Amino acid sequence: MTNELVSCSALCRTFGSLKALDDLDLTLKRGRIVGLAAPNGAGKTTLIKILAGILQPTSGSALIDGRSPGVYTKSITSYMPDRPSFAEWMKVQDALDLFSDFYADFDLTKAGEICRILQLDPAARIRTLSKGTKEKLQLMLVMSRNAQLYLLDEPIAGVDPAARDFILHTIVAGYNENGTVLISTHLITDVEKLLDEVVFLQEGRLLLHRSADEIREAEGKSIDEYFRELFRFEAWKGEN
Amino acid sequence: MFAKLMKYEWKDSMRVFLPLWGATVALGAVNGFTMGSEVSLRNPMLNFIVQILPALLLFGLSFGMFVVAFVLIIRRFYNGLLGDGGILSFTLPVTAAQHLAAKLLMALIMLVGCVLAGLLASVVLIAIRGDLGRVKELFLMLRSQLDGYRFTVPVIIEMLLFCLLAAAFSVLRLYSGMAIGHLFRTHRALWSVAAVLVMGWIFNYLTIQSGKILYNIAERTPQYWNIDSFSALLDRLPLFLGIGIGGFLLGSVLLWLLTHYILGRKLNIL
Repeated sequence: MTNELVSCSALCRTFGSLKALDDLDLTLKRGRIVGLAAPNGAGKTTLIKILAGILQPTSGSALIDGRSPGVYTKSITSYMPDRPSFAEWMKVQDALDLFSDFYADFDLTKAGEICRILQLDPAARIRTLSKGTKEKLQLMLVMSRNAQLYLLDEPIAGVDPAARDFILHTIVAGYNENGTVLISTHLITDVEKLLDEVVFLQEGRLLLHRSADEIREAEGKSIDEYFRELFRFEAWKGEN
Repeated sequence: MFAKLMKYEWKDSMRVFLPLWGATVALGAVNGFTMGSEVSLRNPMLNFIVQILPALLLFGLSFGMFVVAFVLIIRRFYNGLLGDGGILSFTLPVTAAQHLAAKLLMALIMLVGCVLAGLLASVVLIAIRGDLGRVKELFLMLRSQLDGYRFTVPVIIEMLLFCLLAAAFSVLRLYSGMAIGHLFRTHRALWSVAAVLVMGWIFNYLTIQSGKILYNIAERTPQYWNIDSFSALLDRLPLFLGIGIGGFLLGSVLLWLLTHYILGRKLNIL
């Protein structure tokens, strides 16, 4: 087993004339929590979807544990999408059964424990849950796996600060320590204390890939401040 | 993994179809009691409620079952594999072929189930009215009309296979149309409809061309094709069914390969 878990080489994905990913080279090692930050539309979700195997690259390659996205990589990758993806008919119990049936690394005891803390009724229909609760349910399922790679796409977007704390705590407490967590977000302040490494994308290209401590020491500022500095827009000052 | 996929396909589909099929058979029973009821002669309103309404409901439900089946076949494939549900489906450690096979098998189960529920409703209706004996008479009359032709087991199997493959071909045409449509970034539903229509034209063209080839082959054996009676036509039924089975099988394989290629290699869930 090599220490290299994710390896993207000259990865491109275009949507018509738009280049969502442009010649991206990226390597992630095992046992790291990596923050994937970029302005909106810079290719975060596209990269994660390609790694999850639900979007195909236009060219280049993306490998997980040395293999292209497929049945094997899906069995070792735990993916939390940017929006709930459960079927409308499902109850919480159906979602638990589904994960338990399909993923050998799913820890039903851990999932049940988180369900209890969240006071989630297994008989509740998922469509009746609030947005925040659906996100928590999705995260609970994803983090109850002992996966090698966790792909979390905007896990704290659109939820209240208390829910954010719960989600972040669940990530830290739940992940397999030999695995790698890739968290896509632009709410960097909330996640930066968890991060070992940071990846910044700009217009589909890799702008920066450094350790979080290195950024803080070398730049003398937090990752959030550094992000704001790099991606700052000139403010509009009105017409007068 | 295929069995596990089928478990969830079954769970989702039967949630809708078991009540629907049950209601159809129950309405068959209700019609068995109400059809020709003497109450109708005394009160026109009661006549409508007791006699006409159950009959209309049974007719509507029998037709509606197939409409629901086709809507569900389309929705379950589009939402479950190409829409938001595809995010969950395609992150399961399952091959595209298994996903496609599970959807197709469930679609066929739904369609066959609708046919069986319709037949069962008719049998229940007839049995309650005590008319099962007349059905036998009807079959005997039909046989005499067919010049005593006997449907042997192989021919019946061929007929069933023909119907199943025709249904599979229709379902796969919808699937491949939706798969093509999802490759586009916008107006996916519109592109899906266009793809289904274009494939329809292509298959019609291919059918006509195949027909011409078969006609040319048939011309070489004119004595075999000298069909001068209905029974002579029926004698050639296995051959006609065989040609149909071959055509639908070939078409289904082509559509399967196309859909599988898109799901496996060109998946584009936005």
